[in-house]
Amino acid sequence: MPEIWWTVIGLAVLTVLIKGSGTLMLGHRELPAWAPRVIEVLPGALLTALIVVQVFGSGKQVEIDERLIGILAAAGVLFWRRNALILSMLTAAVTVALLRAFL
Amino acid sequence: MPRGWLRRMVMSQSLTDPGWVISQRAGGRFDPYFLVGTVVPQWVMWQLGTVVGVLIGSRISDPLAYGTDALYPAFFLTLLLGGELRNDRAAAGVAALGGLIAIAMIPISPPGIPLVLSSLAAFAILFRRRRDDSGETTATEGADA
Repeated sequence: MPEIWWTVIGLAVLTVLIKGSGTLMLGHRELPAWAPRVIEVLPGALLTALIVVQVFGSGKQVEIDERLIGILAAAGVLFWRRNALILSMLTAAVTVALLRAFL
Repeated sequence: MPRGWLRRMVMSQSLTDPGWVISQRAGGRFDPYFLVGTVVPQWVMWQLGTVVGVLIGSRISDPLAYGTDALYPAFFLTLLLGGELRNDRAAAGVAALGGLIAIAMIPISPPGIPLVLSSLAAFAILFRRRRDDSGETTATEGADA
């Protein structure tokens, strides 16, 4: 079996163990009283950070380019239809594609 | 979480970003069975997407020309505006803080660190709660959804 398959299998096993270990070790504990409130607002912070990094990040540089217009277009769609997932994604992609093609 | 370490460990495998967001329940709790359920359609579509990519991927010379890098931010934005923030002003403040931390860290840290540090913003909510105890008005936010 070629080496690459052993690498794939090794990584797969490792990933399963890492993913499982969190609940394995901590799943039976009751959380401290302050934790639920923090956990409740955590995804918002992480999602915003994901968006910011992907829209402005360019390696170690912060850049303002077509991606900003694209995400603003997607935001526009979402203010009109709050859960329009596919439509907002397509709007962002098409906006960026058009800007790249004509600018 | 259900009892039994093996069962818990297997269920943990179903954790994904969007699955985590939509299996949240009130009060910072989660529905683990809902989480497992979110994986089924995701897995099927992910495999289909990979097959499509293998078949026609090589014919697309420059994916960026189609704005593919804008798809994921828009996806996360939908999760954020459609689900996470709703009418929760405190959560919106935390989210904005998380975004600021991330953008400030991009130039001075390796990739991944801006995301990890943005989670610190969530702790800001602990300072806010004490203020809420004195005024009842924030409790009705979200009622107009």
